[in-house]
Amino acid sequence: MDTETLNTMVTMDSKVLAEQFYFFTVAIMWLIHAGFMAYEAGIARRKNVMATALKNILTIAVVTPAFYFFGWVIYGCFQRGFMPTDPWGDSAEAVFCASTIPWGDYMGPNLADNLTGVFWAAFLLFSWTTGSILSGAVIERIRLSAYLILTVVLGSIVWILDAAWGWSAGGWLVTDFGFHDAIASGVVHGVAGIFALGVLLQLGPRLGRYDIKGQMRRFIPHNLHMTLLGLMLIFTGFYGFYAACLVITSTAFPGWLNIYLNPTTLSAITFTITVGFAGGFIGGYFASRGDPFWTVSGGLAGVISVSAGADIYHPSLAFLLSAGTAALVVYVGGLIERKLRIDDAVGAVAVHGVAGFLGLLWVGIFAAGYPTGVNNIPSSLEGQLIGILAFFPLAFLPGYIIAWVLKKMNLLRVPVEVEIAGLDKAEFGQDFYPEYASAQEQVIDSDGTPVNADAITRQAIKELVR
Amino acid sequence: MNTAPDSVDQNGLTDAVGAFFTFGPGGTMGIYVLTVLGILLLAGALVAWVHTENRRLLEFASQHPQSSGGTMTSQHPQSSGGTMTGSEV
Repeated sequence: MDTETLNTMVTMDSKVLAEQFYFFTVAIMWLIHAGFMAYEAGIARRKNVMATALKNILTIAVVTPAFYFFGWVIYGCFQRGFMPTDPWGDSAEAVFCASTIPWGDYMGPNLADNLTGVFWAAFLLFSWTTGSILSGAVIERIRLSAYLILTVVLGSIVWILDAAWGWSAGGWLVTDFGFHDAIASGVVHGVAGIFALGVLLQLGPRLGRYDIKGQMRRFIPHNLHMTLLGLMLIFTGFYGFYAACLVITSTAFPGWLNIYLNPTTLSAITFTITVGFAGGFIGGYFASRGDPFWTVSGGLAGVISVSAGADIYHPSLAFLLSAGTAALVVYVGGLIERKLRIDDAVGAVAVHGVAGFLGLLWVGIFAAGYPTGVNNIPSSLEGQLIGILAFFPLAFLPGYIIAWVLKKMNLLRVPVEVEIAGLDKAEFGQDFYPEYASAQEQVIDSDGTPVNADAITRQAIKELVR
Repeated sequence: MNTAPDSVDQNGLTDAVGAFFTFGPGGTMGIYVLTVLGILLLAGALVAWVHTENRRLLEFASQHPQSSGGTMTSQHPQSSGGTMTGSEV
């Protein structure tokens, strides 16, 4: 066998191995979505379980085509800002941009291209994750159709535009400011959490969530075991998420690279993710005094907080950062719900938004000087802050404005009669737990005593009518 | 391991398959039309979702006025969240 033939075969093997690698990360990342569905359905009250689960599943139905037609080309062609790259140029940016156009040669079957489809799918799974983050925050009162519109905007435009800017080798934040968010603390989680905040401000709390004095009542999840299992599925899927954030095509690049094409290893990020969960559980447990929901959500917050620097943090640093951030997130989550009276059903703003943006900040403090990207621009606190300043309005304003428009058209929230009876009866005409139909639902009042939910609802209606 | 019979022209097969793809390779009229139709389907589905859900929810609300004591409007007076007072819930 001559050298040329051998080289051709090795190149083909390398491409096919990379193709398989990303394909299986996609399969593992489906667990994140299954987990989010179980997580949110478990948190929902019995009367809203199916509506909550189906809302999550239908994220796939709308974000997938939207990301195919719009999302991927935004990532490929808007890396320098709001002005698109010319896809007919000769530069590497132009070639990549052209490869993302939905009617082009690469966005379909192409025997010369093994990678575009699996890359696209990996990013698509990140898109679903952003949708799921929003989905949990708004359960039990948002209209399905309003959520689907909002999730299309978030999953196919908002997050992928910030990814183009700060989560690509050619993004202006990376090439000009050394912005570093290796495994998407801010790009995915932070942005989705802040988008959810904008929506929540327009949506308002669930009926009966706060009493007349503004004190918070606690709704009892219909199945906390399902929620915890959901979180564990999310954690499992995170390993696929982490792996998919690396670049591996051994004939083009020597070994593993991060998204900015800097060398790293799968081993390095494995240290960080695993230790990040552990630290997050500890921080969440002690800050919440053993509350099961916040303990496990602490694990999520912990790993999100160290994702931005996952390729370079020492595990001991990741442990400390994740524990500290998770504790802070529990505190901020309480503040958002009790003081600001924003009814975030799953703590998404705190767990994803706050932990995500703190993760960006931690890189500026603890990993300053790291030569990020193909230009080797040192990461810095300034660079990270510029990224935060770019991402925050990009995330908040679309959610806030679109939710405002839908609200003005009376298309954001379900009618109050539907909220009282439960979304499942209105949307599907049935109770999905008929065997428990006679059970009385309870709410934990602001003084900590369990009270009958019907009484709370009647009181809330009286206040509404007055 | 290549298990194809010697008589099979692998390069010829690849070229033939590559030339086929449904409605042709990228950048052709067939693909443009399919792309436009796909976008229209997505947009149409979202609009239809809004209409059908709105009709279903309002119908349910009108059939269950007793849930709200019969004095409610069918739409929730949505708050600004951050400035919510207890009287708004």
